[in-house]
Amino acid sequence: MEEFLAQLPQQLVNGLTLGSVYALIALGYSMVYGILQLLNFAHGDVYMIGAFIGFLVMSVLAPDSGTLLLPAALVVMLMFVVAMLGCGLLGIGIEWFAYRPLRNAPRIAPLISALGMSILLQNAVQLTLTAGFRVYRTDKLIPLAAGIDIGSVHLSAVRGLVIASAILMMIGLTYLVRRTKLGKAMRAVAIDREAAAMMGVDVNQVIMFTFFIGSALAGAAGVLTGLVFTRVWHTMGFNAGLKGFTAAVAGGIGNIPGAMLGGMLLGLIEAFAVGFISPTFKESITFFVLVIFLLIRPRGLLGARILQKV
Amino acid sequence: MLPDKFGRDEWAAQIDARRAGPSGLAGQILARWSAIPLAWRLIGLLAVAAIVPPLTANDYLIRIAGTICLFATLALGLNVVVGYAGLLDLGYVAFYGLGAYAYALLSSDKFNVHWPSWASLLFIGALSVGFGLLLGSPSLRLLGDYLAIVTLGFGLVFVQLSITLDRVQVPWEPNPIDITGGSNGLINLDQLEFLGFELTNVTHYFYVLLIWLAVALLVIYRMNQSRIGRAWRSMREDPLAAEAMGMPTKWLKLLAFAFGAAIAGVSGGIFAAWQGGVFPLNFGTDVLITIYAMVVLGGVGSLGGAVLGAGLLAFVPELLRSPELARVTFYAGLGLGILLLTRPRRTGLATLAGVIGFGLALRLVMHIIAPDFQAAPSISVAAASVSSGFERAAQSFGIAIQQWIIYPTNLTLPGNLAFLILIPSLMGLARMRSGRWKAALRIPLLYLLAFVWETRLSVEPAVTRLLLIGLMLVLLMIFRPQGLLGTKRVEIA
Amino acid sequence: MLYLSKRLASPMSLLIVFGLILTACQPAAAPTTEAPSGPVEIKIAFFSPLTGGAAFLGTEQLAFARLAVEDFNKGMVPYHATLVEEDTDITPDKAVPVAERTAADETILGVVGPAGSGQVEATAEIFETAGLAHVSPSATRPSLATAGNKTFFRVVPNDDVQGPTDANYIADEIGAKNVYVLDDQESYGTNLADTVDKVLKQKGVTTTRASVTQADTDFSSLVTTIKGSGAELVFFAGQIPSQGALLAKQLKEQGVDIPVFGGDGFFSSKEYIDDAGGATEGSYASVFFQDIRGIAEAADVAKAADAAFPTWGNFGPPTYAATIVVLEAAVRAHKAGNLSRAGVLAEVAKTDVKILGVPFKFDQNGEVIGATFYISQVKDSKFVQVFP
Repeated sequence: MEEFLAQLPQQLVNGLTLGSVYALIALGYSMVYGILQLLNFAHGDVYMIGAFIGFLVMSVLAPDSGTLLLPAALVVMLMFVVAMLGCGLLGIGIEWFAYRPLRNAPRIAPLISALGMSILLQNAVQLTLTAGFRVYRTDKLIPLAAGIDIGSVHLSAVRGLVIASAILMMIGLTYLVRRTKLGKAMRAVAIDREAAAMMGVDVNQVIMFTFFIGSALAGAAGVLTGLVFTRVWHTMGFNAGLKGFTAAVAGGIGNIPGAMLGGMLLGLIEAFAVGFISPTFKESITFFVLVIFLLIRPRGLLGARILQKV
Repeated sequence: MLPDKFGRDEWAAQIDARRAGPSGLAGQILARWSAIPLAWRLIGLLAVAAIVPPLTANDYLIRIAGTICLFATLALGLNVVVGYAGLLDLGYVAFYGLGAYAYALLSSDKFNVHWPSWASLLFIGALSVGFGLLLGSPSLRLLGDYLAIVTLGFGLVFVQLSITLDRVQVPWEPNPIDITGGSNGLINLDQLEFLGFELTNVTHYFYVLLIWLAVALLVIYRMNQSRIGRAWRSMREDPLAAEAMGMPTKWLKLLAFAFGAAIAGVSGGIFAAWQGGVFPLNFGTDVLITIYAMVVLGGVGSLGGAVLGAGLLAFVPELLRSPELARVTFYAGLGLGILLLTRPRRTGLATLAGVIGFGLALRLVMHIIAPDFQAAPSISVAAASVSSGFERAAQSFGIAIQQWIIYPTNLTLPGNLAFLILIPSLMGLARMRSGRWKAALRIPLLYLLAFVWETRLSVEPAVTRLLLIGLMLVLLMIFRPQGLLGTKRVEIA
Repeated sequence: MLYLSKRLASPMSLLIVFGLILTACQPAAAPTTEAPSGPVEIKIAFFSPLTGGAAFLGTEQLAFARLAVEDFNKGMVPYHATLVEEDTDITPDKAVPVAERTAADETILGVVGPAGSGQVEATAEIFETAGLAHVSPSATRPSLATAGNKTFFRVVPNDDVQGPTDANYIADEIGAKNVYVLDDQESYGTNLADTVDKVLKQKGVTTTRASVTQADTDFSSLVTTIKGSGAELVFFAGQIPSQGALLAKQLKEQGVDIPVFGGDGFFSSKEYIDDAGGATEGSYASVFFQDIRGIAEAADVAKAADAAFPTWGNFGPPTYAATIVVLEAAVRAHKAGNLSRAGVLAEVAKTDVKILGVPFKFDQNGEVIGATFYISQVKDSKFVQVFP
C-alpha cells in the first residue's frame, strides 16, 4: 500500500502527459464523427505526419552538428505552427479527395476509403523518409534536467509543456465551439446536416474547417509526442489512432468535452496499469477498456443517448 | 462519379438498360460463360487449376497457386461477413490465427497431443464457430463503425496474447507455463493425414487447399441461394426494414460471424499444417489488409470477385519480386489502364503517344542544355545467367525504358520530390472534370509517374505494394465501389 | 457432339494459354562447370529484412554484404561474384516463398541469411532439400544448430552464450543485487531475457521480469515502477537503439541513476549515444561481434562502411564475414573442380579463414567455433570494450 501511495503522484503526472496527447487526437476523431458519422482511420496517420513535420523543422533549425539557428522557444513555436498548418491542410486534402465524393454513399464505402487512405499515408512516408526511428533531440531545446520537484514527484519541463499546451488548446477549442459563429455552424451541422444547409450554413465549408481544426490538433499532438517521447516512426499513427478513438468513445463520441475527458482518463488508466499491474499487457488493457465502455455504456461518459431516427 | 440517387420512376424506366448487361467483347464472353451450367463451370475451373502441378516442376509456382487458393478461401469467408451481412469485421484475421494456433496445440509435441487430422479440423471448425458467436454477440448492440473498431482491437489483442501467453502463472504449477510459444511460435507440427495418406509436399497441400476452396465455394453459393442468403441481403440493405419484415436479424448476424469464423479457422488449421509452424506475426494487420483488399477489389458480395481478387493480389507481389518483371508489369498495367479507361479510345491512344513523345522531348532538351549529361542509370541490368525467353524480352524492354527516362545520378532525392508532387497532382487530376485540360495534364503526370516508378517505387517493392493497395482502395471506392465483379448499388430516394 | 466440343472449347483454350504462360516462367538452367574465358561467375542470394519492422537491421546488413562482394571482386579477379538481394522482412512466412524461389534457381550456389531465427526454422527444410548452404549473420536461437541441419551455419554465437555471459558480468563485475529484466516481445529479446533471468536468479540476484513492445513510446510509468523496486540495473533485451536510449533518458529524468544493459541492437553510436544526449553514459551493450573499429585489418572496411552506411553498429560486420565465407568456399570448390551447390556446401563446412582479423571455423552443427560475446560500455560518449 505504501509503495502504491509513493508511486501514485508520479504515475499521475505520467498519466496526464499521456492523456494530453490522447485527448488531442481524440478531439479530431470526435469532431469528424460528430459531423460526418465517419471513422477517420487516417487521423492517426495525420498525427504521425505532424510528428515528422516537427522533426524536419527541428533538424533544419537545430541541426545535429552545432548550435541552434534560432532561440529555443522560437524553434518550438515554429515546429508547432508548421506542423499544425501542414496537418490542417493535409486534413482538408484528405477530406476533399477521399471522403467528399462518398458523402452519400453507403456507410461501408467511406470506411474502406479511410482505411485505404491510412495505408497510403503510412507507406508514402515510408517511401520518402524510409523506415526506421527518428529521434527528437529535445535536449537541445529544453535541457533534460529542467523541471520542478514537488515532493517525490518530478515534473520535467517538457511534460509540463505538453500538459499545459494541451489544456490551452482544449480551452481554445471550447471557446471556438461555444462562442463563435463557426462553432455554432459546426454544432448545427453535427445535429442535422440538411437542416443546417437549409438555414444557410455552407456545409462544405464547415466540414472543411472541422477537418482543418481536427487535423491541426493531431499535428500538435504529434509534435508534443516527439518532444516528450522523442521517437517517431511511420507506423506510430496506428496505435495512437486506436487509442485516440478509444478515448473518444469512452468520453462519448461527437462530444468535445467528452473527448478531452476520455483522453485524460485513458492516459491515467494506462499509466496505472503499467505501474500497478504489469507493463506487458498494456495494449490489451486499452482494448478491454474500449470493449467495456461500448458494451456497458455505449454513449460513453458524457455522450447523449444514441437514438436511431427512422 | 458520385453514387447515383434515383427517383423511383427513373429507376423503373431504366430496367431494360440494366438487364442488358455489358456489351461488346466483354459482354459476349460473359454471355457465353454464363450460358454454361454452374456445375460445369466449377469443374472446368477446378480442372484447369488441378492441371498446374503436373505442368511444372517448380515448387515455387505450386506454392503460389496454393497460396492463391488459401487466400481465396479466406476472402470468400470475409465476403460472407462483409458482403452478405454487411458487418465490417476488422478482426477476421484473428479467427484465422485462432484456427492455426488450435491446430498447433492439437497436433504437435508441445503438449504431446496428436489428434488425427480430421478430428483436429472438425474441432477447429467448432471452436471457431464458438468464438465467432462470442465475438458476434457484442456486435449486436454496436453500430457499424463501433463494430469495426472493436473487432480491430480484438485482432490486435489476439496477436498480443499469442506473444505474451508464454509465461502464464497458474495456481497449481510452480513455474509459469508456456501456452503459445510466445514470439518464437510453435514449430514441428504434424502433417495432415487423411485416410492414411500423409501430405508431405507442396503439391499435396495444393490439392487439399483446392478441394477446400471448392467446398467453400459450393457451400457459400448454396447458402446464398437459400432463404438465409436472401435474409442476409435484405439485412445488409436496410436492417430496420428487415426487422420490420420479421427477420431475426440477431441470429442472422451471429450466423454470418460464425460462418466466416469457421471458414477462417479451418483455413488457419490447414495453413498451420502446411507451414509446419505458427508464429504471431503470421496474423497481423498486414494480412488483414491484404484480405480486405482482395474482397473489395473483387467486389463486395461477389463470389467470383473474391476469388479473382485473391488471384490478383496474391500473384502480383510475386511478379514484383524480379525487377525486370516488375517493370514490365507496371508499364503494361499503365498502358492498358490508359487505353481501357479513357473514352473515347482515340484519346487513350493519343495520351499514350503523347507520353512517349513527352519523354523523348525531355531527353532532347536535356541533351541540349547539358550535352555531357550522361543518363547512365545506376541500375545495372544483370547480363549473365538469364536464359528464359520471357526474361530476356523483359530485359530488352528494361533497356529501352532506360533510354527513354532521364535518370538523375542520385535516385532518391529527386524521386522523393517527384513523388511528393505526384500524389497531390494525381488526386487533383482524379477529381477534375473531363475536358481538354484534363487530357493535356495527364501527359506530364503520367511521365512523372513513370519517373517516380523508376527512381523510387521499383526500388522498394514491398512498400510500393502496400502503397498501391491503399491508393487502389480509395480510388475503387470513389470510382467503382462495386469492384471488378460486384453489382452496382444505388440509392433510390 | 458439336455442343459438347463448344462447351469444352473455352476451358480447353484457357488451359492451353495457361500452360504456355507457365512454361514461359521456367527458371534458368544450371550452368556447367566448364569455365569459359571470362571470369568465373559466383552467384549467391542474400536474405534480409529490407522493409518492415526490422528494416533498420536489414539495410545495414545489405550495405555490408555489398561491400563484401565489392572487396571480393576487386581482390579475386578471375572470379566475379553477384549478389541476388532478396527482401524477406522478418516474419517466417515471408521468407518461405523467397527460399523456394531461390532453391528453384539452379544458378544460385549459396545463401547469406536468413536473418531471423524464426525464418531459419521455417526455411530449413527447403534449403536442406536443395542442398543450399545458408550462413546466417544474425539468427541466434540455440535450437537452430541442433536441429540436425547439414546446411545451416552461423557466424555469430547463439543466445545460450550471450545470456550467461551477460548475467555473469552483471552479477560479478558490476555487482548488482537487484536487476529489472525487460524484453521487447520479439523472439530474440524474450529468449535472451529468459536466459539472463534464469542465470541471475541462480546467482542469488533479485530479479523482476516484464515486457514492453517495440512500438512503445513511453516508459515513464515503467520507470516509476523500476524506481519503486529498488533495482540497480535494467537489463533490456531489445533490438532498437532509440528505444534503449529513450529508457535511459526517462530514467535520468525521474532521477533514477542506474545503467541500462542492452543487447546487440543497442550497439549504434549515433542512436544510442549521440541521440541520447548523454543519458546513456555508463550504460552497456553486449554484442556478438567484435567492434571492428579496434581491429587493424578491418580499418578499410570500417572506413568504407562509414561512407556507405554511417549509422552502422553491430549487424553489418558479421554479414560481411558471412558473405566472404560463402564466396571463399565457392572459390575453393571451383579449385577442387566442383563449383556446384554440393561443392560449396562441403567447402563451407571446412571453412578455416580469417576475416576482418577474426578467425572463422565451424563445428559439425554449423556453430562458429570460439565465438564469444563482447561487452562495451559508454564512456565519454564512445563505446569502450570492457569484456573480455
